[in-house]
Amino acid sequence: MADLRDACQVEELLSAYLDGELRPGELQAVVEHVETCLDCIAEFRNLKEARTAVRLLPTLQVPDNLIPFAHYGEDLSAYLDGELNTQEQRIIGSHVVTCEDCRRELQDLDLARTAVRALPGVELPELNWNHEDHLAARRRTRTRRVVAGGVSAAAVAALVLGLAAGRDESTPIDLDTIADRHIARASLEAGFSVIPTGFSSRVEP
Amino acid sequence: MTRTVRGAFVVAVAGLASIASIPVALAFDLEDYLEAAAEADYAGSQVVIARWDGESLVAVIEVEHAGSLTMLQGGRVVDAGKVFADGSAGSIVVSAWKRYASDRYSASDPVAARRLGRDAESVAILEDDGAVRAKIVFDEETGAALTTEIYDGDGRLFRLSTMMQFDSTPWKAYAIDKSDEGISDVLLSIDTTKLPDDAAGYRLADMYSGPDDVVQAFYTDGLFSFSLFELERQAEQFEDAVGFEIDGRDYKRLATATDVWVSWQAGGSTYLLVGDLPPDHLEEVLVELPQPSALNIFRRFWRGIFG
Repeated sequence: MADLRDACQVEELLSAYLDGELRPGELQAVVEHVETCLDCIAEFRNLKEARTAVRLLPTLQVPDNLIPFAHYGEDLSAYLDGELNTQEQRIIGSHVVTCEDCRRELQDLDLARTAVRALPGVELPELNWNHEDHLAARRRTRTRRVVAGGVSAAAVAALVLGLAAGRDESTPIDLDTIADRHIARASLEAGFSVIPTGFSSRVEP
Repeated sequence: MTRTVRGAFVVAVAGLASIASIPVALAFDLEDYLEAAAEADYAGSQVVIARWDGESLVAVIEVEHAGSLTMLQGGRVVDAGKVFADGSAGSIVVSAWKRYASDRYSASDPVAARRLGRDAESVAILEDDGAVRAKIVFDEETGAALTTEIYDGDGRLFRLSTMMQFDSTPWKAYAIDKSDEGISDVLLSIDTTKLPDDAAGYRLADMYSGPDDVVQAFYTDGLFSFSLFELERQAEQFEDAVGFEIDGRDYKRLATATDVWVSWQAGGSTYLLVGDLPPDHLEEVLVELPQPSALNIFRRFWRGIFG
């Protein structure tokens, strides 16, 4: 086993051992060597303690002012998609306010996303097709054809009666956010200080 | 609205009738008054009364102003382009904006006045056609607006706000923890728009997109302002809204003492207007914004029979 140390391979192999990356032959060699070599046992313990200490280090967020050219390129997309955790969202939100480059990049990203959304939708082909699903789908289609006739007649009747003003499926609007967005921009206007504002009053009787 | 509220409106209007005799002359710069009011330090409790279609709406608002901060009831702290929902955690920040210099309004010569035992100046705000659109009593010491009257297109008092209590020093020291500005939404400026640059004298100053994909267009005429929110989907409109028509087109309105909300559907989108503009301005603005489809013959027939 001394040849392992002589070849200066032990430290590397111990590191690989701790990472669970050794091949079976290498694993056997390292285990046998470590059992008999006091230096390697000490080395192994030091290595293990060092790794544990590194893992226990707190995650530090380096302030922007210490990294003058720090930007959040890839994270900006995640920021727009709402995929960041709260802390990351706040960090990038604060950074964007002060960093013109990132703000511009964020605006470009947002425009691109808006443009993509405006593209006509493409229906993806169904994958994982199986026979049972296919039969069930055919049964549903037949049923739909029968129901469709009845529904069409009812729809025509509703139109004739002038009751066809039905609403599409809708989603609620967050009025508090809307109010905050308006106040945020209106507060930059000269009239804000003389025209009373008090959106909370809208819920009062 | 209750009889008590109507009574309060009448009393308040009668009590302030003396302000109506302000001489009309175009001499003073309105901007100077507005800037002084924006920099004023004060705390107060104000009553706001507005009339929409004969109904009176009342709100009592506690407001404090210190430096650039405006503290409103409900926990909002406003700091020139930022709204902090609870005074500590950041909420919404405007990333960029353009200042629109309007010449739609001018101020008359100030007239000495007294309000709440304080020396004040009363100023009439005149629209470009010479009509009095507002009268404001400014506190001499602080520059704060002690009383604001807004008139509609027929010269009738539409909204009145007046301080019931006023202190030239803020009551509480509000402070935003700048080290933890938890910004949740940044309003990003965008340029692309199909909305008009001008709507009945209101200029499109800025457009923003938000993380919720709701486009916000901000319009101002130099005194009043509104935001037009465009949602490219059908959206539930607010409850308790009053339906109304302009040129046979359907809108829904929710008015408060301080603001008006109007929603409508047009071209598959939902529009929501939020602002402080008076009723005649609102009507003129709506016809110049994307309009809802006119009622079809069946709905006209149905409405004609059943209302």
